[in-house]
Amino acid sequence: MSEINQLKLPLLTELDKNIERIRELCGGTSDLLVNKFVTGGIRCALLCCEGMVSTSSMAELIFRPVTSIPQQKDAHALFDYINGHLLLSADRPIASDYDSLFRLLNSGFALIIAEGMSVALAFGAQGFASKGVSEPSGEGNIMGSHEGFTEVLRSNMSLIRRRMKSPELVMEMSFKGSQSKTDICLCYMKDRVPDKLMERIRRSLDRIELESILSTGYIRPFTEDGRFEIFSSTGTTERPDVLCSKLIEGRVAILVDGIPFAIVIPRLFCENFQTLDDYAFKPYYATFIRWLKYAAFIISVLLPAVYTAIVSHHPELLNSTLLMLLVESEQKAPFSIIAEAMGVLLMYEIIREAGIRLPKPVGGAVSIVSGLIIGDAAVSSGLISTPLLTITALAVISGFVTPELNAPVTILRIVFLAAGGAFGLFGISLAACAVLANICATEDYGFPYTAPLSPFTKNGMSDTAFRTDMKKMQNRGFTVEEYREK
Amino acid sequence: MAAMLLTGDVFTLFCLNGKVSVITAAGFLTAAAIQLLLMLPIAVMLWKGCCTEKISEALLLAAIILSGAMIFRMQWDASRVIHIPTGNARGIVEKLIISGLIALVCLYISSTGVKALARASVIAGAVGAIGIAVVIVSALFRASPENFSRCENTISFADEVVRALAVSSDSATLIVLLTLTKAHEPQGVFRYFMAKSVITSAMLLTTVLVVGGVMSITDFPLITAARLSQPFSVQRIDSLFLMNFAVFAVFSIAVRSASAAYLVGKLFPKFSRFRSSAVLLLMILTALFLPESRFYALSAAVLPIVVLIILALKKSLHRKGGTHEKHC
Amino acid sequence: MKNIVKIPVILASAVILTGCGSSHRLHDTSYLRAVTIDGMDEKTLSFAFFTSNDSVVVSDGNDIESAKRSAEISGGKLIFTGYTELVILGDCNIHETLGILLNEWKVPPSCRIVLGGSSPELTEKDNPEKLIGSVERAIEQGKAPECDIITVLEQLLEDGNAQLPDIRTLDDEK
Repeated sequence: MSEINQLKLPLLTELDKNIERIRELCGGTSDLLVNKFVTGGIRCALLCCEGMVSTSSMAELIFRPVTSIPQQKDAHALFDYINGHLLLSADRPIASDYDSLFRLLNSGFALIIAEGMSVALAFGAQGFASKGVSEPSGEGNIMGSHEGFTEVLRSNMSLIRRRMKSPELVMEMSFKGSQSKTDICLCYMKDRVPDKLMERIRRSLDRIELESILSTGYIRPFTEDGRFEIFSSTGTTERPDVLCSKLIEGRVAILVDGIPFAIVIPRLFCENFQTLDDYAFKPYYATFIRWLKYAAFIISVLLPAVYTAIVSHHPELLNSTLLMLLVESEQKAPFSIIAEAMGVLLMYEIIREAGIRLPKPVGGAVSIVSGLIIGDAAVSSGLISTPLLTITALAVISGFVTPELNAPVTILRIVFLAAGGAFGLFGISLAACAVLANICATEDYGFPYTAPLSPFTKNGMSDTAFRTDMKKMQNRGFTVEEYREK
Repeated sequence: MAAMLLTGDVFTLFCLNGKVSVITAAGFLTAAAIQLLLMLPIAVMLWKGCCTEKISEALLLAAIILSGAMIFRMQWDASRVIHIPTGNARGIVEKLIISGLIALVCLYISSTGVKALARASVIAGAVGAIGIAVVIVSALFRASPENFSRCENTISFADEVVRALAVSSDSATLIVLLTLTKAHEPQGVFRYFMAKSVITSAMLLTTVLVVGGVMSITDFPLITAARLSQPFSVQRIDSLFLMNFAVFAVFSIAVRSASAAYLVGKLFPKFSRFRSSAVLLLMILTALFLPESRFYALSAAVLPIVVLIILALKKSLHRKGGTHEKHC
Repeated sequence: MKNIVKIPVILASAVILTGCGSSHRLHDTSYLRAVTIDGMDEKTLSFAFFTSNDSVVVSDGNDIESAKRSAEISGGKLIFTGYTELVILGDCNIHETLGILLNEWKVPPSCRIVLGGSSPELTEKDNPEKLIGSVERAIEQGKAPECDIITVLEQLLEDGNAQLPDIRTLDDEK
């Protein structure tokens, strides 16, 4: 019989054989702790995973009460007594087969098995090491909360529940990953999300047949359409306050145990330029910042390409003084403008990636190498021209304004650069048309990615083109369902 | 739907060859009115559930192929005065490179579907409209009311109407889009023609105001008007016009190729793959080998009249036979 | 995507990305600032450029285009005319010349047109910046009429003649 089939079998009633089967199934792993004891006249064993349970909780909440049980008729009566008279833990599932037994064991539960019972009682006594609630690493803000999600699913659920005390907020638990059995939680407001949408999302998740779920990237492809999309139609957030604002708008969130990010479905293109800080500032300033972000996005993607196109093919767009400046600076550069631009962009990506991956003590060396050696020496020697370096730096800094879009912006920047260098502004226009068509074709669960711009929704402009006053927004009763195409 | 069609209309204006005067604007407005009168009955019939027959679909396909070929040809002619970087290629190679690039992008856009094309047209149209407005406003710095009188009216009003119908009418695509997009309320058609009239008048009148004095020595008045947009003495923005030109070229051809591919699918159901590629290739070949003649351009305008007649005949035959209209 | 499409796309991308297809460099071109045009049948042109590295080039040709091509050979660089600020006309067909400048050379609409007699050395004696400045100041002070290429062409096409300042006598003109 295969191991998978064995895991689906109910527990053996004979205690010693049960323990032996459990040890055999987990390969005799050293972190499985088995403590045999007698209580209520019945032979029992307490199973837990070393390092996963809190020994103080176990001692206080489980050991003392369980070992003080009066004599019981048989194992069934013992378990009835424990379930009915002892409140050992708030979370008390029952494991009826080896699969669920191991899942609970490895989730930090303490399990009690008894002679004559084919089920195990589990008690939540988690005490594994985890990072506390801290400020999110990305998604910085000034005026809002500084709490971010953690790696523990239940902590994340509490962070959301604390902010949304409505009974309409539903959290559906399940698990995915045939080996990892990772807990996932579907969060939504049941009065705002249509049942049909929930069904479609559940069906998408049912298609997951992976062995493990270790990042949001394992789940997101299953929730998106199969076609090639430059921009992802699902989003992620590290912040519980942002997630709550999305849930209020009728979106669905997926929390994954072990990952401090929540997946949000659906996501619209305009949301990449919205932050919670926008609602903390005055509308005129928030609108100004919003448009600054739009401009930064365009600059980030197009500036190197437009510069290359203009310098190579359309110099008449520059005024004569600027042109002469560029002619002088490009005089010494040995490469063509496009090769130079491509080289600088790729060098920046290498430095950025190195900055993320290398150990903290070496971090200073990256700054010195990239700033002094590459930046200063390369320009002084004439390998790279100063205007090009300035243009690339501007484009890169503009990209930091929308960090969620970093991946597509990086690739688009290179694609547009190639198009602009080869065919000038004509090439850039053609590439822009293709990218626009791709963005407009992005649509999941009936929500067009370019809403509310196209299809145009006048009401949607109040939080897209500008940020209306909160007093006017409060009566809108907006949900994302307004954007769905029937 | 209006955005998809307006991109084509604006592009044909960009590529307008020959002199332009106030009479030209009047001719274009009249042509739009004639088209509206022709299209409203068709829109009403389609709205009430009339279907196009195979023969009318074949005629529409021929009209769209001709219209697309005309767009390619106009774009080749205009690229003589607009600098499109194609390396050292000249002559037919240059034409093929430009057409090939546009066709590739149109192919991709068609593959994303009509919904995506419609959404993209709205955004491209809006951005293009802003670009055109910028060019018009900056060109108006050079505007001179005397240019109205400086433009000699060498072409008669009737000729201008014929020119407008030949250049700017794409009723065949409109009919196909009315069936495809299901936005076939007659009010939508009316709004489209209103928008077309306003945009056409604004562009033509601005051109006359700006270029009127040098109209006799320019081949492409609208392109020249864009070139004269120099609000600052040391800056020119006519290359930005190239971006508008390219975007409108792509969308005008993409809309036609998507419509034609749809018709090919209806006429030849077994032809399931490479429909858009076949249609684009046919347009390019037609543009290369068709002799330059207004006849072919006019036929693109006349064919919808034939379709209208066929639809009307079919409806009256059904009424006489007592059968109900089947809904498509 | 099938291999038959993938391979050419990858090759084309590689060519584009290495910049092999683009050999044009900014400093390979001379940017024309001022030009004198003289001659009815045989044209003599002298070209003055923005950068001081590019010296004044004088060339002859049957028409303006051939004279320009000849100047590119003697100067060793392509000549870009999109920035031309001043055109000094000698004895030539003004209407035809300006038409070519506008449509073929694509000079900016703010390019000034002045008369300068038949001497091509004007651009050698006085640097172009001084000449252009003189014209601009004269126009500002009302001593010279508005003479950008579009205004001049409009006058020519309407009346058959146009008011053009003479660069040799700018001080004296009322």
